[in-house]
Amino acid sequence: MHDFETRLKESLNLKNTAPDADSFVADLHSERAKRNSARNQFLNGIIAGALVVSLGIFTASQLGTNPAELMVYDSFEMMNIDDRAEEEFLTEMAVYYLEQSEDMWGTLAFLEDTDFFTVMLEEL
Amino acid sequence: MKSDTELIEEFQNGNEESFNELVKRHLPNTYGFFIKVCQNEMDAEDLAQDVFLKMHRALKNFRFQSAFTTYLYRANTNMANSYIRNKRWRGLLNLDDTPESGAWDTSHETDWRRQELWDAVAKLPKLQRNVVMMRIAQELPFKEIAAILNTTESSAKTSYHYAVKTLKVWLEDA
Repeated sequence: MHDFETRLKESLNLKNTAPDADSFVADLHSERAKRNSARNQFLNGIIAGALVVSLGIFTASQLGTNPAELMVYDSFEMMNIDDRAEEEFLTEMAVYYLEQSEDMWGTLAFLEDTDFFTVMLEEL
Repeated sequence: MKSDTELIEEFQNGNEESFNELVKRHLPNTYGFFIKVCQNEMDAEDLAQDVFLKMHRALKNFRFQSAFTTYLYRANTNMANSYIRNKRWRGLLNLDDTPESGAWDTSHETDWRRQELWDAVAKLPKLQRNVVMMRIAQELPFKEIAAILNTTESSAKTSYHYAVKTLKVWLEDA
Protein backbone atom coordinates (compact mmCIF):
# COMPACT_ATOMS: atom_id res chain seq x y z
CA MET A 1 0.00 0.00 0.00
CA HIS A 2 2.79 2.41 0.94
CA ASP A 3 4.59 1.72 -2.31
CA PHE A 4 1.44 2.52 -4.17
CA GLU A 5 1.03 5.81 -2.25
CA THR A 6 4.62 6.74 -3.00
CA ARG A 7 3.98 6.07 -6.67
CA LEU A 8 0.87 8.20 -6.55
CA LYS A 9 2.81 11.09 -5.06
CA GLU A 10 5.69 10.60 -7.46
CA SER A 11 3.32 10.64 -10.39
CA LEU A 12 2.40 14.16 -9.34
CA ASN A 13 5.96 15.26 -8.75
CA LEU A 14 6.00 18.20 -11.09
CA LYS A 15 8.53 20.78 -11.96
CA ASN A 16 6.17 23.69 -12.07
CA THR A 17 6.93 27.30 -11.59
CA ALA A 18 4.23 29.46 -10.11
CA PRO A 19 3.35 32.49 -12.24
CA ASP A 20 5.06 35.78 -11.48
CA ALA A 21 3.38 37.02 -8.28
CA ASP A 22 3.29 40.71 -9.26
CA SER A 23 1.71 40.10 -12.67
CA PHE A 24 -0.69 37.59 -11.11
CA VAL A 25 -1.87 40.19 -8.59
CA ALA A 26 -2.20 42.81 -11.35
CA ASP A 27 -4.25 40.38 -13.48
CA LEU A 28 -6.34 39.48 -10.44
CA HIS A 29 -7.33 43.09 -9.81
CA SER A 30 -8.01 43.79 -13.47
CA GLU A 31 -10.25 40.71 -13.62
CA ARG A 32 -11.97 41.83 -10.42
CA ALA A 33 -12.64 45.27 -11.90
CA LYS A 34 -13.97 43.64 -15.09
CA ARG A 35 -16.33 41.36 -13.14
CA ASN A 36 -17.50 44.24 -10.93
CA SER A 37 -18.26 46.31 -14.00
CA ALA A 38 -20.14 43.41 -15.62
CA ARG A 39 -22.10 42.86 -12.40
CA ASN A 40 -22.97 46.57 -12.19
CA GLN A 41 -24.11 46.58 -15.82
CA PHE A 42 -26.26 43.55 -15.14
CA LEU A 43 -27.79 45.16 -12.04
CA ASN A 44 -28.43 48.42 -13.93
CA GLY A 45 -30.13 46.40 -16.67
CA ILE A 46 -32.32 44.66 -14.11
CA ILE A 47 -33.24 47.97 -12.45
CA ALA A 48 -34.01 49.63 -15.81
CA GLY A 49 -36.12 46.62 -16.84
CA ALA A 50 -38.01 46.68 -13.55
CA LEU A 51 -38.63 50.42 -13.97
CA VAL A 52 -39.98 49.98 -17.52
CA VAL A 53 -42.22 47.10 -16.41
CA SER A 54 -43.58 49.00 -13.39
CA LEU A 55 -44.16 52.11 -15.54
CA GLY A 56 -45.96 49.94 -18.10
CA ILE A 57 -48.13 48.37 -15.42
CA PHE A 58 -48.91 51.80 -13.95
CA THR A 59 -49.83 53.20 -17.39
CA ALA A 60 -51.98 50.20 -18.23
CA SER A 61 -53.78 50.54 -14.91
CA GLN A 62 -54.74 54.13 -15.82
CA LEU A 63 -56.41 53.11 -19.09
CA GLY A 64 -60.13 52.33 -19.35
CA THR A 65 -60.85 48.67 -19.66
CA ASN A 66 -64.18 49.01 -21.51
CA PRO A 67 -63.57 48.27 -25.24
CA ALA A 68 -66.56 50.48 -26.28
CA GLU A 69 -64.93 53.51 -24.64
CA LEU A 70 -61.71 52.85 -26.49
CA MET A 71 -63.64 52.64 -29.79
CA VAL A 72 -65.35 55.99 -29.10
CA TYR A 73 -62.02 57.67 -28.41
CA ASP A 74 -60.63 56.23 -31.63
CA SER A 75 -63.67 57.38 -33.65
CA PHE A 76 -63.38 60.95 -32.34
CA GLU A 77 -59.73 60.94 -33.26
CA MET A 78 -60.54 59.77 -36.81
CA MET A 79 -63.29 62.39 -37.21
CA ASN A 80 -60.94 65.18 -36.19
CA ILE A 81 -58.38 64.06 -38.71
CA ASP A 82 -61.05 63.89 -41.46
CA ASP A 83 -62.33 67.39 -40.63
CA ARG A 84 -58.93 68.94 -40.76
CA ALA A 85 -58.12 67.30 -44.10
CA GLU A 86 -61.44 68.43 -45.63
CA GLU A 87 -61.00 71.99 -44.41
CA GLU A 88 -57.51 72.20 -45.87
CA PHE A 89 -58.71 70.73 -49.15
CA LEU A 90 -61.54 73.26 -49.52
CA THR A 91 -59.33 76.20 -48.65
CA GLU A 92 -56.67 75.12 -51.11
CA MET A 93 -59.27 74.61 -53.82
CA ALA A 94 -60.71 78.07 -53.25
CA VAL A 95 -57.29 79.69 -53.35
CA TYR A 96 -56.51 77.77 -56.55
CA TYR A 97 -59.70 78.98 -58.25
CA LEU A 98 -58.99 82.57 -57.22
CA GLU A 99 -55.41 82.45 -58.51
CA GLN A 100 -56.24 80.75 -61.77
CA SER A 101 -59.31 82.70 -62.73
CA GLU A 102 -59.09 85.92 -64.76
CA ASP A 103 -62.22 87.25 -63.14
CA MET A 104 -61.66 87.30 -59.36
CA TRP A 105 -65.09 88.79 -58.60
CA GLY A 106 -66.80 86.21 -60.79
CA THR A 107 -64.95 83.43 -58.94
CA LEU A 108 -65.94 84.87 -55.58
CA ALA A 109 -69.54 84.97 -56.77
CA PHE A 110 -69.20 81.32 -57.85
CA LEU A 111 -67.83 80.33 -54.45
CA GLU A 112 -70.66 82.17 -52.78
CA ASP A 113 -73.13 80.33 -54.96
CA THR A 114 -71.64 76.99 -53.87
CA ASP A 115 -72.04 78.02 -50.20
CA PHE A 116 -68.30 77.81 -49.70
CA PHE A 117 -68.13 80.62 -47.19
CA THR A 118 -71.09 79.24 -45.24
CA VAL A 119 -69.37 75.86 -44.94
CA MET A 120 -66.08 77.45 -43.87
CA LEU A 121 -67.78 79.61 -41.26
CA GLU A 122 -69.59 76.57 -39.92
CA GLU A 123 -66.27 74.78 -39.71
CA LEU A 124 -64.77 77.66 -37.74
CA MET B 1 6.83 39.26 8.87
CA LYS B 2 3.12 39.86 9.44
CA SER B 3 0.85 36.90 10.13
CA ASP B 4 -2.09 36.02 7.89
CA THR B 5 -4.46 37.25 10.59
CA GLU B 6 -2.74 40.64 10.73
CA LEU B 7 -2.84 40.98 6.96
CA ILE B 8 -6.54 40.09 6.87
CA GLU B 9 -7.31 42.60 9.63
CA GLU B 10 -5.46 45.30 7.70
CA PHE B 11 -7.34 44.34 4.53
CA GLN B 12 -10.63 44.54 6.42
CA ASN B 13 -9.61 48.06 7.43
CA GLY B 14 -9.21 49.00 3.78
CA ASN B 15 -5.56 48.22 3.08
CA GLU B 16 -5.63 46.58 -0.36
CA GLU B 17 -1.86 46.05 -0.28
CA SER B 18 -2.27 43.59 2.61
CA PHE B 19 -4.51 41.46 0.43
CA ASN B 20 -1.89 41.53 -2.32
CA GLU B 21 0.70 40.39 0.21
CA LEU B 22 -1.58 37.52 1.26
CA VAL B 23 -2.05 36.47 -2.37
CA LYS B 24 1.70 36.52 -3.03
CA ARG B 25 2.33 34.45 0.10
CA HIS B 26 -0.17 31.70 -0.77
CA LEU B 27 0.09 31.75 -4.56
CA PRO B 28 2.84 29.09 -4.92
CA ASN B 29 0.96 26.59 -2.75
CA THR B 30 -2.43 27.26 -4.35
CA TYR B 31 -1.05 27.20 -7.88
CA GLY B 32 0.98 24.07 -7.05
CA PHE B 33 -2.18 22.31 -5.93
CA PHE B 34 -4.14 23.27 -9.04
CA ILE B 35 -1.37 22.37 -11.47
CA LYS B 36 -1.44 18.86 -10.02
CA VAL B 37 -5.19 18.63 -10.39
CA CYS B 38 -5.50 20.32 -13.80
CA GLN B 39 -2.27 19.25 -15.51
CA ASN B 40 -2.57 22.49 -17.40
CA GLU B 41 -0.83 25.77 -16.54
CA MET B 42 -3.55 27.98 -17.94
CA ASP B 43 -6.38 26.20 -16.11
CA ALA B 44 -4.35 26.15 -12.90
CA GLU B 45 -3.78 29.89 -13.11
CA ASP B 46 -7.46 30.52 -13.85
CA LEU B 47 -8.56 28.41 -10.87
CA ALA B 48 -6.05 30.12 -8.58
CA GLN B 49 -7.37 33.48 -9.79
CA ASP B 50 -10.97 32.41 -9.12
CA VAL B 51 -10.07 31.29 -5.61
CA PHE B 52 -8.37 34.59 -4.77
CA LEU B 53 -11.26 36.56 -6.29
CA LYS B 54 -13.59 34.68 -3.94
CA MET B 55 -11.20 35.38 -1.08
CA HIS B 56 -11.25 39.08 -1.89
CA ARG B 57 -15.03 39.12 -1.40
CA ALA B 58 -15.16 36.69 1.50
CA LEU B 59 -12.31 38.05 3.61
CA LYS B 60 -14.15 41.32 4.17
CA ASN B 61 -16.43 39.34 6.50
CA PHE B 62 -13.90 36.77 7.72
CA ARG B 63 -14.57 36.00 11.40
CA PHE B 64 -11.29 34.22 12.25
CA GLN B 65 -13.14 31.13 13.49
CA SER B 66 -10.56 28.99 11.68
CA ALA B 67 -7.09 29.59 10.33
CA PHE B 68 -6.89 31.33 6.96
CA THR B 69 -5.06 28.34 5.47
CA THR B 70 -7.94 26.02 6.49
CA TYR B 71 -10.32 28.39 4.75
CA LEU B 72 -8.08 28.61 1.69
CA TYR B 73 -7.58 24.84 1.40
CA ARG B 74 -11.34 24.32 1.65
CA ALA B 75 -11.87 26.85 -1.14
CA ASN B 76 -9.15 25.15 -3.21
CA THR B 77 -10.74 21.74 -2.73
CA ASN B 78 -14.22 23.01 -3.64
CA MET B 79 -12.81 24.69 -6.73
CA ALA B 80 -10.92 21.52 -7.72
CA ASN B 81 -14.09 19.45 -7.22
CA SER B 82 -16.06 21.72 -9.47
CA TYR B 83 -13.24 21.62 -12.07
CA ILE B 84 -13.15 17.81 -11.97
CA ARG B 85 -16.95 17.64 -12.29
CA ASN B 86 -16.92 20.00 -15.29
CA LYS B 87 -14.06 18.08 -16.84
CA ARG B 88 -15.97 14.81 -16.49
CA TRP B 89 -18.96 16.34 -18.26
CA ARG B 90 -16.75 17.82 -20.94
CA GLY B 91 -15.09 14.44 -21.35
CA LEU B 92 -18.48 12.75 -21.71
CA LEU B 93 -19.47 15.33 -24.32
CA ASN B 94 -16.04 15.13 -26.04
CA LEU B 95 -15.50 18.86 -25.58
CA ASP B 96 -11.97 18.64 -24.17
CA ASP B 97 -8.80 19.31 -26.10
CA THR B 98 -5.74 17.17 -25.64
CA PRO B 99 -4.07 18.22 -22.37
CA GLU B 100 -0.92 20.27 -22.60
CA SER B 101 2.21 18.32 -21.85
CA GLY B 102 4.54 21.29 -21.31
CA ALA B 103 3.82 21.56 -17.59
CA TRP B 104 5.07 18.10 -16.74
CA ASP B 105 8.34 16.75 -15.56
CA THR B 106 8.96 14.29 -18.35
CA SER B 107 12.14 13.01 -16.74
CA HIS B 108 10.01 11.23 -14.15
CA GLU B 109 8.53 8.15 -15.78
CA THR B 110 5.43 6.73 -14.17
CA ASP B 111 3.50 3.53 -14.72
CA TRP B 112 0.29 5.31 -15.52
CA ARG B 113 -0.46 8.65 -17.02
CA ARG B 114 -1.45 11.47 -14.72
CA GLN B 115 -4.62 11.89 -16.72
CA GLU B 116 -5.59 8.33 -15.82
CA LEU B 117 -4.87 9.02 -12.16
CA TRP B 118 -7.12 12.11 -12.05
CA ASP B 119 -9.80 10.36 -14.06
CA ALA B 120 -9.78 7.67 -11.40
CA VAL B 121 -9.75 10.22 -8.56
CA ALA B 122 -12.73 11.94 -10.15
CA LYS B 123 -14.71 8.71 -9.90
CA LEU B 124 -14.19 8.38 -6.14
CA PRO B 125 -16.98 9.34 -3.71
CA LYS B 126 -16.76 13.02 -2.71
CA LEU B 127 -15.25 12.61 0.78
CA GLN B 128 -12.64 10.13 -0.45
CA ARG B 129 -11.85 12.37 -3.43
CA ASN B 130 -11.37 15.41 -1.19
CA VAL B 131 -9.13 13.53 1.22
CA VAL B 132 -7.01 12.15 -1.63
CA MET B 133 -6.65 15.58 -3.24
CA MET B 134 -5.53 17.14 0.02
CA ARG B 135 -3.28 14.28 1.00
CA ILE B 136 -1.63 13.67 -2.36
CA ALA B 137 -1.77 17.03 -4.09
CA GLN B 138 -1.41 19.29 -1.06
CA GLU B 139 0.37 16.86 1.26
CA LEU B 140 -1.62 17.96 4.29
CA PRO B 141 -1.64 16.06 7.60
CA PHE B 142 -4.85 14.15 8.41
CA LYS B 143 -5.57 16.46 11.35
CA GLU B 144 -5.70 19.47 9.04
CA ILE B 145 -7.67 17.57 6.39
CA ALA B 146 -10.24 16.65 9.06
CA ALA B 147 -10.53 20.31 10.11
CA ILE B 148 -10.97 21.48 6.52
CA LEU B 149 -13.63 18.88 5.76
CA ASN B 150 -15.40 19.24 9.12
CA THR B 151 -14.89 15.59 9.94
CA THR B 152 -12.86 13.54 12.40
CA GLU B 153 -9.26 12.57 11.89
CA SER B 154 -10.12 8.86 11.95
CA SER B 155 -12.83 9.39 9.33
CA ALA B 156 -10.33 11.18 7.10
CA LYS B 157 -7.82 8.36 7.55
CA THR B 158 -10.44 5.69 6.79
CA SER B 159 -11.63 7.54 3.69
CA TYR B 160 -8.05 7.87 2.50
CA HIS B 161 -7.37 4.21 3.11
CA TYR B 162 -10.45 3.14 1.08
CA ALA B 163 -9.69 5.66 -1.65
CA VAL B 164 -6.11 4.47 -2.12
CA LYS B 165 -7.26 0.84 -2.09
CA THR B 166 -9.85 1.60 -4.79
CA LEU B 167 -7.37 3.58 -6.88
CA LYS B 168 -4.87 0.72 -6.62
CA VAL B 169 -7.44 -1.69 -8.04
CA TRP B 170 -8.55 0.68 -10.80
CA LEU B 171 -5.10 1.82 -11.89
CA GLU B 172 -3.26 -1.46 -11.64
CA ASP B 173 -6.01 -3.39 -13.38
CA ALA B 174 -6.19 -0.86 -16.19
